[in-house]
Amino acid sequence: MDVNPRRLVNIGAERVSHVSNTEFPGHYPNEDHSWNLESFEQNLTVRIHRLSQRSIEFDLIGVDASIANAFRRIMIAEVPTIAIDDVYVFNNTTVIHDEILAHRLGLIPLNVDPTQMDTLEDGDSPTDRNTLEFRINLECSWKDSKGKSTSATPTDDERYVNHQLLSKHLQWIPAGEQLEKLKTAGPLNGDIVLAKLRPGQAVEMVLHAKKGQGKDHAKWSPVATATYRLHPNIVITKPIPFERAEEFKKCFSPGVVKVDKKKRTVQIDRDHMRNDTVSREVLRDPEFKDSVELSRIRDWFIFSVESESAYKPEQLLPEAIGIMKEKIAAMKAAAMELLGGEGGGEDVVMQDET
Amino acid sequence: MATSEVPPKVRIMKGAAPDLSAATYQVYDESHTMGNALRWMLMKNPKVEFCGYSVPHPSEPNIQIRIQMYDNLSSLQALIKALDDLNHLCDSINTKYTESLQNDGYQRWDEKS
Repeated sequence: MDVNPRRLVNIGAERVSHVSNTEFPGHYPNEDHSWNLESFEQNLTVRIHRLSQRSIEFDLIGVDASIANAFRRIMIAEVPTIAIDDVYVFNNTTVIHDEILAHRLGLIPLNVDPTQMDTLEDGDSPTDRNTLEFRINLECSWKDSKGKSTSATPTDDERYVNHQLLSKHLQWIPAGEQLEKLKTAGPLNGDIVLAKLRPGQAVEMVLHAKKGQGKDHAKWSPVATATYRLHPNIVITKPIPFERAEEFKKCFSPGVVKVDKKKRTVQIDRDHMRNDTVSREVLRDPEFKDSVELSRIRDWFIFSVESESAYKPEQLLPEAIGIMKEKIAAMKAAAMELLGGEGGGEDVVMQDET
Repeated sequence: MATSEVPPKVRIMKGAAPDLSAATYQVYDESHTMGNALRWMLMKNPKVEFCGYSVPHPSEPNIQIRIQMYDNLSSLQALIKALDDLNHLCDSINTKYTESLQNDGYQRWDEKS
């Protein structure tokens, strides 16, 4: 895998160079870098690397950082989810203040498919299409035995009934067609501790969950993390003395350097190169620093996305692409309107800056 | 703000050339997400002399895109072309991603929460 040096971001001991993409028309003489869908598609590789029920790692190769970053930003801030937004407190005698408890409730990830719900716009009233209602009614009390019979140091479970307010205590009150459409609604994880209670303390609340976007509040963000890093590229330019192979190996992440004891060679493992953190430890060693070149591949994005919402992790990129297309369509419609207004040879009426 | 009216999605700012060969467009309710992607796509157009974008204020939901064209061409046409091209780009990434999801033998693993 010899990478075209134009694709590399060089990494030195104390500096990073060749950071910006140069593939624009007019940058290289006699080279055409204008937009061309066919050559873009030829260059483009999308490859899923690993997938679990909660997270995905995939490679997006052959795009500019602005495109990769657009998808990352949309996954974090613009893919909608459902979260608790309004909390009506009828009773709360726990030590957790109403505001803190309301905030905690908002952060509970809910298992509701956002496509099944509408957004509640300003001035609208809540309906079964845009609002989910939950109730909490919990009171802590002593167990009859008060835990005395069990042990000298009884646990909370042995002493009290309902000594914790957990996310599973949210009771869904389906309205209208919700039961048919959604079947179930509730927290993704039922064991989130929201408050601790003692005998005599009680909570009674009504909660309204709504559809929203991460840009309004992080509770609506469908991801725990959505990040990318550039694929590392490590090249050994001069042979590494075999006596120091183990020391050389320790300068990189596990698996990146292959030491063959029979052939007495030191090599980089291509498949494990992606795991390297590019710590530059190797450049601190006077003997190694001129024997190796560190870089990253500018157009090779290793995305790592963790879903913390009703979306499956593999659904998040298609959702983000869909939203990007909606944004493009909205802008295009507005631009076409301007173009229509331009007709007739008259000058465009310009608005004052506000 | 005095009025609660929604501003137009795209407007041409004061000081644009009458033939729109150089203009600054203000886009409402957009951010770096669209700004940088559009800037890149416009710069891929050989007829664009200059393109840059800015977010004038972090708490206002606007971006401004400046486009200057060669040969007195219309920057509005270039903007529309860039939007179309971006749309195609989104489609091809989506296609390749779906293909990989269906056909590739990637590692599946069980992650405990």
